[in-house]
Amino acid sequence: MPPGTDPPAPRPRVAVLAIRREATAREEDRSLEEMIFEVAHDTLADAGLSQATVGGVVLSGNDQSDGRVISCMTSAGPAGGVDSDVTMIASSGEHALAYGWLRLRSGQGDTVLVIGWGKPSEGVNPDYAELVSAEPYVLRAVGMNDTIAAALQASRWTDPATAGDTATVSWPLTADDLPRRGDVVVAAVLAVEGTFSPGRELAWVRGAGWSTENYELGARDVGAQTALDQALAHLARGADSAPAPSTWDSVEIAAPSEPAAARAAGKLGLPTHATVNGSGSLHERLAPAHIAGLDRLLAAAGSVGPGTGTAAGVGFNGFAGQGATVMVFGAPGTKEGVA
Amino acid sequence: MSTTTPTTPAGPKFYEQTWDLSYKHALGETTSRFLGALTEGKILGRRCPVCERVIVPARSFCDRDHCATTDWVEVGTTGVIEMFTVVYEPFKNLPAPPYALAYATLEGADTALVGYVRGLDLSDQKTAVAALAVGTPVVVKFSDSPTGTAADYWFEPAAGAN
Ligand SMILES: [Zn+2]
Repeated sequence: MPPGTDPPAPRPRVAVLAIRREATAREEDRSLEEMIFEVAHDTLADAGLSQATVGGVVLSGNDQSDGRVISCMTSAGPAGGVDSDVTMIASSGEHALAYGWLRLRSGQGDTVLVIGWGKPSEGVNPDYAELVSAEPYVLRAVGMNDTIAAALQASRWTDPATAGDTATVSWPLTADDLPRRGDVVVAAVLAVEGTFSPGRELAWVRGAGWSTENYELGARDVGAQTALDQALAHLARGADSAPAPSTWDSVEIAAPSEPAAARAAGKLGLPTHATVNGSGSLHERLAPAHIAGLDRLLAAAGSVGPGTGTAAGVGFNGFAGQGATVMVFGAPGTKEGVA
Repeated sequence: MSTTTPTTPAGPKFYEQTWDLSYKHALGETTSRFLGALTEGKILGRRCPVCERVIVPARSFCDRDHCATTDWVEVGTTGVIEMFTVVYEPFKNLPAPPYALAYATLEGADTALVGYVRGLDLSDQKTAVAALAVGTPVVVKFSDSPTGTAADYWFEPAAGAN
């Protein structure tokens, strides 16, 4: 630090005060906005907040599957963002949580509601809508969706000679290997330490990291999951001294496929007692792709407590996990979030 | 304020719509030339002056080094499979299953090109995927009636492969 300059202001610690999740295979009796309203309202209430008192709202939706452009405009109201400060993070739901955390760390408000949703049942053919994710110059003439990209990635790890002949969706994957969409809304309230009664927190945010690789599957080694390595390096570089994966008690991973989740878990170097995806397999836990990472990050935050001092969420976004995000949570009631 | 149930019958449950939106994407000079070359049975790449990789399909910039690519390179029409799948689930606007899709690195290229793999019997899964294993040599075939899109080429197993 050059002489004469002020020391950097201490960065506030941020806790998760409330988490809500609503998930069903098909919600046909309520509109998307009604679902968002109910989850936002109840999550704010759980944190002792309301639209009038929350410091800001961060949204994450996917216009291509929801059929609303720009859906942050129609969703600002139900999410509690009218006459307030609303931002939509389109890259992926887990980035919305990271952004909400960064807002509070930087001193921009004391509380923030982060809410992500997807209602793919309203898109009559969500797989068809997904084809627009392919760049429109070369790849779109061939065609690509999340399922086929996940299968191409898994082929890097699967030996045809020993794989059997059980693939039913896209070799080597079966439906059980793949994430399952659903009509899902997830939300959390984050708050700065000192603005709520001690002990009210569900978890402390201990750090986050994220990175993005090359878009093109042919220009990166999709089997290497380099974005995860980079996200972990980003996490380690943070100012938070985030606990390393070797100390995590549990991890929740949203991945393009079960082989990708297993591969990611393997490269973390977790302790032997650590649980992986204790909240359910990719197929069991409904989540549209763009909020699957946010959902798993919040599942990790919700899992800390007695016996689970540290939990982390890992989210991948883009074809075959082009991007990766890691967020680490510590148990409530302790100064440094370590049980 | 009182809460009452209206006496009118419930209305429609859904509002169903289909949108027909059209786009005309500018390709840029580099992709235009890449697609044009396909109609002549050629696969073109561009070399990055920093990492020296030959990027295929040709791109006007290298996103690893964030610099403009410089030289055009015609790469070979033989290569090896880097990853592949056989798709069994029907998807709207994709071919009727089963079909094989792969990324192959062509001779002289440093990145892999996507394409369908044809000329394979896909009726038996074990046999089909064994013929597509990572590292399998393939050749690029070109359409007799090209359209100037990536649909103008596909891969086939190289003679003698497997
Ligand atoms: Zn380069």
